[in-house]
Amino acid sequence: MKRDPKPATRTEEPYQPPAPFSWEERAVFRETLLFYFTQPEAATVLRKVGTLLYDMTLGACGEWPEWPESQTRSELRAAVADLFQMQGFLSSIWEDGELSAALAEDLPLCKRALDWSRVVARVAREIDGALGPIPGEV
Amino acid sequence: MHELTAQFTTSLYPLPPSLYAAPPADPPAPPVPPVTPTPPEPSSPENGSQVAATPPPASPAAPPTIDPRAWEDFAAFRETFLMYFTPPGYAAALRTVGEMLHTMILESYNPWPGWPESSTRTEMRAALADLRHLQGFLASVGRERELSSLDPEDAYLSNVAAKLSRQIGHAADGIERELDGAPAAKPEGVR
Repeated sequence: MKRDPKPATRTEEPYQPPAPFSWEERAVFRETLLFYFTQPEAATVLRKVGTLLYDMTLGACGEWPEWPESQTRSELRAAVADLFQMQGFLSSIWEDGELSAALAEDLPLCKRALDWSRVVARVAREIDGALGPIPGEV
Repeated sequence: MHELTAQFTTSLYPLPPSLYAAPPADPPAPPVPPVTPTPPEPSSPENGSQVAATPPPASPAAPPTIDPRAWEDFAAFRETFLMYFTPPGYAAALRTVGEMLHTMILESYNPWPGWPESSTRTEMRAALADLRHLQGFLASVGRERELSSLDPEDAYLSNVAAKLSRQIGHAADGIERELDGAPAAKPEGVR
């Protein structure tokens, strides 16, 4: 995390995380990228672009090569990748606390981030273990 | 030279072993890359962009194995989106675009308005949003066994996804409580 932990300028319309479960409307860009866009409506616009991209992709992917496995297995392998990415993000928040790069009042939150990164890692490993290797790979 | 080699093969800020080993017994061995010997960082000068973060997959459609330490190399696009890009090179190209976007943001954000909260709390809110996405995605996979005719193995996996969606949901609930200021219980599965 390279940002000033307590920026001086405040935005009137701050980054707003999306509501739970509307995952198909947030299917493209990670929120851990969009939170950088503090300009009013910027993150919202990018989410709309993402929805457009997602719809176009679903429209086009029928002509593309098949997955090497079933759809269920392919989806879960992708979820494993995203879970490990999230593990890394959460552990970087913990690391900020360890390196004194966070505000003192946020240190408990940084410590909790490590707990949550472990939960995410455990879920990723459980899915990965259930999937086994990709066909054709050792 | 031996001393120099030893010095530069040791990370300045090593992550705790527990990050890769926890919880130690359940589930079994993690699939993440080994800590030692340390492979070249995915975005290091030695190997260029994040596309080189993992060896070329056996199938063009296979998602990468993400080393959590290299999370910034996969900062823009969700892999649950890139999985649709099965033509060779498509997903890799988008990962490169994603890395470029992330780098551009980090080099450009200074003049942008600040957050209303600290960076740590803002980051946690973004992580919470991504966890909610994963919760919803896994729940959707979990419903496939009800909405589609799956073979027994995929039906089992669908059931696993439904169960793990709830675990992700519990973790997200914990983050939400913590951010709202309420005391949160220890996350499930953490010792």
